[in-house]
Amino acid sequence: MKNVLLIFAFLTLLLFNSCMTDREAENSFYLNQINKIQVISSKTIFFTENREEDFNLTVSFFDRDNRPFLNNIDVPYVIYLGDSVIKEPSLDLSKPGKYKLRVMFPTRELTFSNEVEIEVVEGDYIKELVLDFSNETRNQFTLVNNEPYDFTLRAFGPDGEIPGVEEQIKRNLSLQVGNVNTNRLTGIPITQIGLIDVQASVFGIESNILKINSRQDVSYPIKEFQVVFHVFSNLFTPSQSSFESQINSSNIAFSGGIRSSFRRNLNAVDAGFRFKLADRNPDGSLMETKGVNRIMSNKVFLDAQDQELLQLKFNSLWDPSQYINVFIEDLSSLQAAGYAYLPFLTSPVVGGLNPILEEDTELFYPIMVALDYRLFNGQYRDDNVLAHELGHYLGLYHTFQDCQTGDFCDDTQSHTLPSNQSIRFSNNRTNCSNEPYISTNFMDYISVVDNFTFDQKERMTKVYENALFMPKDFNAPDSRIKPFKRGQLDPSIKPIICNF
Amino acid sequence: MNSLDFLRKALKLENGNKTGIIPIEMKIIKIKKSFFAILPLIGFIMSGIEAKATTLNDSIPEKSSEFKKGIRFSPSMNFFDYGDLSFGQIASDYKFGAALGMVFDWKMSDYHRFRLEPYVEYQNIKNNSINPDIEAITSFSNLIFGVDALPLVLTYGGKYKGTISAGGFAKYVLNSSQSTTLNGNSVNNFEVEINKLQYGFSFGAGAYLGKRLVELRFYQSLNDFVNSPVIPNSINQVQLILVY
Repeated sequence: MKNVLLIFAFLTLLLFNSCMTDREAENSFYLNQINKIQVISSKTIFFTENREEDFNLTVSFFDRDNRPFLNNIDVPYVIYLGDSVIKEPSLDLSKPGKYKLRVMFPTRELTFSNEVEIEVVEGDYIKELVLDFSNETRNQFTLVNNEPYDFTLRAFGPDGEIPGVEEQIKRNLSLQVGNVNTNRLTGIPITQIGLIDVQASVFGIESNILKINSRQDVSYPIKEFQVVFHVFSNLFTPSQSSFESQINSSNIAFSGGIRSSFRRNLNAVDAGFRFKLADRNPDGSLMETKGVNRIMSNKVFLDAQDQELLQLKFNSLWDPSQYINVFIEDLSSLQAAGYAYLPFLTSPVVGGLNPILEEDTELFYPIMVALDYRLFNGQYRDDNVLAHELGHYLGLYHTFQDCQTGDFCDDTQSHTLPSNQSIRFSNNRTNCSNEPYISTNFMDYISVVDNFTFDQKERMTKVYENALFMPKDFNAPDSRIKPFKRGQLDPSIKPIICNF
Repeated sequence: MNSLDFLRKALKLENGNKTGIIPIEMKIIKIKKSFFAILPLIGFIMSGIEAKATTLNDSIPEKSSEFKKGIRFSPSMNFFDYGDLSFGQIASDYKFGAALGMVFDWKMSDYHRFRLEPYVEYQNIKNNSINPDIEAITSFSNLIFGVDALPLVLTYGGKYKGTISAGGFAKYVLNSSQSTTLNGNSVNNFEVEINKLQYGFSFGAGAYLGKRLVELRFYQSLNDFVNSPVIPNSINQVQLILVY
């Protein structure tokens, strides 16, 4: 019996070897679905420097049917640089040369990725350095000591743009801005007036030259207008506060007081115009409701371009040399939030406003602004519609007017409206030279607006000084008030309709 | 080096290639070689004991043929062999199971018996990635009908008989469920195809305790459980067989 037990014990030990063995990692049924690994390096070209440089790898896994696999999972993999295994993607930049990088996952058959060639090169690898304005400060015009510029710099090699070298460029950058030298690309103040050259240099390679026209802002005496809102009695019953709201918004807009989430425009200015609700009727008596004139009407005009309505408005205009006339209408037939008539000038001080007329011309068109009544009854909220229409009233065109003459203001980007409705109101615009930029101008159709520019101010000021039917007398109390002469309506004069 | 290591090396059973890929055929040949290398040793030991037993038990008459049957219950440890185990080793990621069945036992001679053992088995087994940074586990629960045929059952002794056995088995998976987790999160779109018919050889050692039998048996499947294009995988099993 003792022998039997001995044999049993011996065989048991022999049979099971008295130990348990741990597994290798490569036997997973699930992980062995990995059939292909694709690796993309954030950088493939590095410039020689006495330092180590980290870079990022984008590693994608695919199964045997070439479908993406293990998405959004932090999959561990082994990195090979040449034949050496490295812990992190990092390169010693003091050793120029070519290196091959790949990654491996320990599947049963050891799955390797594609091979990425990485090269450490000297500075003369750069064939072209392209200096450009950043999207938010793209403008050849600026105001001295105003908002700082941001620039972008891209390096091109024999195979096109060299990706991922931004940090190395920043470390080795020299930027000449006029007679000032700096080593950064952002937050560059312009402190000189005149035409300024901007050029970058990296590793001894020089970029193209950007030219900036730096100007001094000019302050003019504030010009104030009194505004009368004409409301048809059968349309709706307005409250004075809703008009005050539009007037207040317009004052902030024209004083340059609006701040948005975007960088402030390089040429943003106080345009120098202010507005207030009229408090007296044309006969000098106090208005029943400040700034509001109710026009008694029994007829409902469904067509905003109805000739009878046009004639009614022409006849109802208060002296345009005293007031800005704003009519509150139903503009649904135009699908517009507002419209405005451009002024006529007595001398050709700005482009785009023709013909030039004599000073004693009788009023022949309804110089006015129209706003849709929904802006005032709570159906539609946009506090800047009046400011936009007043821009037209003072002679401004849309910034998207066309790519030939543009809007006659140098410091606004010429562009056209995107046909794609989904980006029609986006602040991310592309100008007529196909360069991206951020638009925040009041005269564009965009969701966020915050500025009139220096050239727009100059244009509006010249228009104001040379326009017919403009309430200039209000700002010159000592001037001789000319009698208001209402002539024959010329219905061929058309406003700029704004389909926000 | 302990005595078992020495024995393994003497018998050349050690698998020196820890990381390489061993084709399934090579693995089977290797185990077969190992088994046949042991057989002469077992035969030598048994013949020596038999000679001694003949001289001691000459007065007890025994029947030359006998048929017994009994109820078989056997808890089991189940683990995958991916071709990376040395002979007789048990992987650390084993899972437990159990089987219930019958044993039919024919006495062929004083030292030789034949057994047939049908049973129904519930088997748990898991495929476990040990990569420290990513844990992928596929677990299986199988309901199996199996038959062990043991043509070579050698016994020795009187009331308590020592025994070693060798034979083959065939199992059919009646039902199998599987689940996979990746870093502890359930994976829904992954299911592997399994081979429902499993077969292989088994060998064990134990003792007849009167009418009862206790045996520890090792099962080596000779075909893959999961149809995988890259991973050879067979189920190895150790059963503690208790027969009443």
